[in-house]
Amino acid sequence: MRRTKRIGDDRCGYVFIAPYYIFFVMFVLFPILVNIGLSFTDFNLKSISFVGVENYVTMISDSLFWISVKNTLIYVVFTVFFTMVLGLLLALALRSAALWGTKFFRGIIYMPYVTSMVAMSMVWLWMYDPTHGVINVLTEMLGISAQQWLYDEKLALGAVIVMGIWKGIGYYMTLFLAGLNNIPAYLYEAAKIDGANAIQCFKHITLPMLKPVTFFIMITGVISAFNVFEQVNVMTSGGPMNSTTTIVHQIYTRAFTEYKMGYGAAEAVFLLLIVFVFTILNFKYGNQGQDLDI
Amino acid sequence: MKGKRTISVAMAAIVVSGLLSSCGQSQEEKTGDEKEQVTLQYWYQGTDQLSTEFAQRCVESFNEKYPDIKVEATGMSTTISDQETKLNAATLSDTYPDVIAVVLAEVGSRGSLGDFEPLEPYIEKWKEKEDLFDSAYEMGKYQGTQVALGVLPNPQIYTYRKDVFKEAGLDPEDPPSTWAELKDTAEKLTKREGDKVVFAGLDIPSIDSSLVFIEPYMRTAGSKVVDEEKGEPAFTDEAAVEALNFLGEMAQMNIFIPHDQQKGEEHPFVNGNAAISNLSTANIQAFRANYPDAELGYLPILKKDENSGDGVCFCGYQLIAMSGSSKHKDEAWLFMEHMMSNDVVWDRTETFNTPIVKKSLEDKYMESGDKELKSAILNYVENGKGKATVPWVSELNKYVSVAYEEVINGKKTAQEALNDANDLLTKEISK
Amino acid sequence: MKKSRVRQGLLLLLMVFFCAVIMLPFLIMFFTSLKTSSEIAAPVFRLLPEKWLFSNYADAMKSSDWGRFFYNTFFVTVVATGISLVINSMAGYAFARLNFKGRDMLFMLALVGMMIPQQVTMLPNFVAMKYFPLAGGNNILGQGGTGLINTYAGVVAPYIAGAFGVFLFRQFFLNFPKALDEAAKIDGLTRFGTFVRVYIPLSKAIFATLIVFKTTSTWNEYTWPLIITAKKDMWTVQLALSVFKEEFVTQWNYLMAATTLIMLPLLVLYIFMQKYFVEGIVTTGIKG
Repeated sequence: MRRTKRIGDDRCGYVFIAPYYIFFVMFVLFPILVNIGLSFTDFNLKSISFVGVENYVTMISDSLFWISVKNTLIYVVFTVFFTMVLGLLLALALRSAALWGTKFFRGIIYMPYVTSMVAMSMVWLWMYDPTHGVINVLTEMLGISAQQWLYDEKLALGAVIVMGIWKGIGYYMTLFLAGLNNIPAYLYEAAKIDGANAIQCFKHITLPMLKPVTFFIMITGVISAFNVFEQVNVMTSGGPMNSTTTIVHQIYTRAFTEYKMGYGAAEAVFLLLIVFVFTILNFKYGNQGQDLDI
Repeated sequence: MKGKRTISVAMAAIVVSGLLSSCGQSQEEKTGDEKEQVTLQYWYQGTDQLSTEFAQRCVESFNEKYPDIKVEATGMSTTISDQETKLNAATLSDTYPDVIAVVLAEVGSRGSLGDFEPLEPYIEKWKEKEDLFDSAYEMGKYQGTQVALGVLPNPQIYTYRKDVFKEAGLDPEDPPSTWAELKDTAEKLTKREGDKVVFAGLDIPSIDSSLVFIEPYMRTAGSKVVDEEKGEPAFTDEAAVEALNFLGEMAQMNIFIPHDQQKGEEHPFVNGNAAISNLSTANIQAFRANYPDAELGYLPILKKDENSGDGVCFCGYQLIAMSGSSKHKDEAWLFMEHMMSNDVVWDRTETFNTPIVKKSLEDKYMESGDKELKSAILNYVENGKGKATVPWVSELNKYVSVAYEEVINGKKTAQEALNDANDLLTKEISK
Repeated sequence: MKKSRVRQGLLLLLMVFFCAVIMLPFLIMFFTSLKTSSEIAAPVFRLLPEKWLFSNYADAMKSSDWGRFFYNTFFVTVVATGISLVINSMAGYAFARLNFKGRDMLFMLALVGMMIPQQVTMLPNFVAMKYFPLAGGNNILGQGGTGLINTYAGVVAPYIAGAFGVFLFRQFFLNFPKALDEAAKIDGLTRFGTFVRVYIPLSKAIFATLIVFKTTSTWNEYTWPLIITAKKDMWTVQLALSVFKEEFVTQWNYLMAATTLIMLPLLVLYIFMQKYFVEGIVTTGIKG
């Protein structure tokens, strides 16, 4: 509210957002509205009629859908959490001193983020191979017996999560690194004079100062984790025993291979609602509640 | 100040040039003035070099016959999810191709959407109609209507390693022919390090999302799997349960290396890590190229036991169909006729190393190449059954494949798993 | 002094180990690209190829019209990134600095664009492309032709609608001292003038950031080009990878070689932009 009062009413703001908003309305808002509309129909590519909230009622008793919701939530929590922690630790390690080859390490850790998943999923399939895969070779060296990773319902989702972390870690690290670089050095110097140790510094200076970056990462990371689809589709197709199916994978299966466009649309609306709520909560609490006036 | 202006000018230039050039680059040409010329759109399976060159040859030879009809051939990705996406988009936007190559599952799924034109009136007038294999007709029927014609059979042939048989002291010329023998042999051929299987006796998939591996066992035991006349699922009978039980028992014996049936090249056999596997002819060919020294043999179609009737195997098909919304149906049929002509069929057989679909080519086919493989192929094609052509094929696959996974992992008994699958499926299709 | 050197050494060791883990899939990819197909089909996986077949790279590139595919991808990426930079920075500025009615609502709505999976938007978009008025032979009502299907404009348009850039710019501009605006006002600059002359020159870093992110996502896009392009000569590199996949057999060595080559431009861009990039994120999202 403070901001609103200080600068007057800038009508020209509409002109500034117009070029973007035209594209947004055409290619994002319009399809979303179409989708919301479709979710109240039984559209199946061939015929369409209005069915009210039937799709939503069906969804409540669709056990497969709820499995996918559970899987997606697990995926979101674990990937976002671990990628954040690892990203932060790496960022701390890569700036703690003038370590040799910082740029080089940074580049390597960022690499997974620039690769497309088509070929990489295959490489991961090889790595997870139950007999001769690299991962089993490594775990056997550590004395753990060989696992069937992608074919074991208890491990498959974990295997997909590990790949998700691998993919995202560079993105998170780079952002954290940047956030760390931005903390003025005098804060640490002052703390040192006051006799603070490293852990205290981290707790009272580093973490609070990283908040804005963490906020940005949380929002973008959570959103993209909720939309996980590609690696699931290529690596496990949702199996074994539906242990890796995700919401988007369900939407895709329903709408594209079973032609239940209306039902798929309803699932999509549900997904949009969860992500939206998460984002709003993030804005309200993650950003000390002072960002948006809504 | 100068720098700033340069930036803003450069930005404006990027936007303007981007918009202009992207708008100006439209690749479609108007076909307004040439009324005589008809252009057909033909979508074929595969974007690889082999498929592309083959399609190009077909179009060229067609143009020699009919210079007035232009054919634009476009390859589709063979990833089934990509294909569905593309076809859905085409359906919605009225850009469906006139002639399209489809796989067997799509006859049911897309047939139910009314994508395809009934072909009977055209076949009536076709001179070579008698010459086409019966199975090629059979596979292309959706609820009794001929909506597609088979052009490329793709049997899944149980292939085994003769050299491995010898090594294990088994007679390579007397391979298993019944379920019990298969189970025995597979156990004998398996090599383990501790609990870990390092060489599989038999390729049993952990995931079989299109039921290519499972269905033949059910059908061999006598189950219909799907009652196509009534349009109902029929996989909870005794036969289906028995089949699934058998697969569950085999899986519990720890004789296989987990893999996904859909990913053909992930079969442990293809990497030299299994003794017996069901493979497509393309996989067999690739294996031969990588392992020139391995001796291959082909199982007869497996029977349940000595006394039971003939077994059933899986034979997929690639088919050719005409779009129901085509504006040039007569011309489209001419092109389809061309695609079924002996010259093209033979070229296809040689290019892809696949079986023929014309009776008049049978002798020529048997004369060339590996006799043992060819007779196995013909046998598998004759006794093969593909996917049921019902609208709910995807749902059927989804639920039955989970039932299979539950059984081989020992989560449920075959009866329970199939009943559960049946309940879920019935609930869903009754809507 | 000694203690810290030991610590440095340990840290370095740890980093080397960690990077090795991260690199492992890439090493497999790279070494696979140099193998023969029978080596790939060998029973036991070996990391290193027997003979380093660099000719696989040449063979892979000769297999199809890769020059054309790279050109298409390059063109699409440059146009999408260029337009995004301009319109996202403008919108981000407005959302951060200008006060107009419904601003925060409009911003939240734009963020929704980031939340919806592509699988949901692509079919309506495709239909809209087909019936786009006055394009590709269409009349003013969008009938008669093929619209923007199989055109560069059709490929690019939805990419520009993503909200990521708007969000990034907004967070960045929120961080600028308010005094800038007041000084600009005193100098008699309009809003547009302030944006172009004050804000843009200070935003080199954030532009670099968005260039890297937007280029990466556009370059790697798969599903949208799959449905919107109809002919091979409009393909992007990601689509072209399918030329190595026959129905049952894949030429993994060529596929991996092509994937390595496709990745390189993005990696070079990242290395080149790194210095701005890190600096760019420094201030993003930080507000006073």
